[in-house]
Amino acid sequence: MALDDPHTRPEPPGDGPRPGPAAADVPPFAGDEALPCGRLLSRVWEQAQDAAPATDPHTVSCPYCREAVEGLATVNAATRVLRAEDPPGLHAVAGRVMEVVRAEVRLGLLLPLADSDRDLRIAESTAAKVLRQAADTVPGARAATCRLVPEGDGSDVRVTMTLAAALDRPLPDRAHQVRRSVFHSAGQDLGLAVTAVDITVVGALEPWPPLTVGPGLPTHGGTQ
Amino acid sequence: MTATGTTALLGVAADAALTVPGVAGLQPRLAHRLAAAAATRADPMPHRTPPEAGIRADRAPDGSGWHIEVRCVLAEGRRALDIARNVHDQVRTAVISHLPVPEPVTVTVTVTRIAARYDAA
Repeated sequence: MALDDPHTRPEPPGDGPRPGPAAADVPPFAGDEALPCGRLLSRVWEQAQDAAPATDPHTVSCPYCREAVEGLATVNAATRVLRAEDPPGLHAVAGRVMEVVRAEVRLGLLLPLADSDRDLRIAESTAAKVLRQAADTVPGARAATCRLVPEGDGSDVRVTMTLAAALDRPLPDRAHQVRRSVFHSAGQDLGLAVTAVDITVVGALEPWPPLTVGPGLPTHGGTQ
Repeated sequence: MTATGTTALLGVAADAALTVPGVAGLQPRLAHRLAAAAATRADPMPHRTPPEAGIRADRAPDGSGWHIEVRCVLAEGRRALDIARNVHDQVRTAVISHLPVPEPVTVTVTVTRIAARYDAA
């Protein structure tokens, strides 16, 4: 509930000044309550929202109007408490909803599995995860990104992968090993008809364990 | 088919898919997951997504049959294509058997995730 929500308050027609006490005889709401002093409850509340009570001598002296204003103050206080509590709850809901939406987007394209008779698909993100793992099985290679796109009208799929590679061997050899591993996994683990695996080496893999050179210490090196 | 009949059809398809070895579960559709995400702590009952939420059943535009879509999560260790084929055939057979009169049924199977062994449950 928002008591000062502009939609819940009657707006005077036109751009003229607010209606004075004479207009208080016209109930703006169906079922508006008239206080024993003759004033409408809605007008008293509106006045209390708009101006300090001291500016209206009647409100200060009238017990009915004062009670109505105090009641409004209680409701306002409760509203402020609820407003202070609500945002975290709303933020949590919004966060959960956005996480669901992101997860849906993360699925990526839906790629055809290699079956010409049935309509079978796999999410790109799922297939890419399996193929990255296949690339990582090659010593000295670590997959970075993996994208898959359908090719042609059938169930063919093209893979584009970036990876970091150790520099202890010629890069073309290592890329060839990765390509073979990806082809094998695509057929064996997924059942994807991969036609090509494009590989770009975008980084050098640091040797592990790191070189340790010092007096009296052996030198270690190599790649993982 | 009535709404109740469609619900029963979803249940039949879900049961058939879940019996296939290698299927770890069905992935609820976006609308169901959004509903679960929007459920607040003030809700008297915790939101529970039924397996049928992973199935969508649509009438063919000309009313001549059904199209069933299954979104499933697989357990790793088997080839995704083989499991998807099995799901396709099992669901199609189960739905055709369930229909009171013979109608064409097409099925689409989408693998949304392959769960590692430790989180397949």
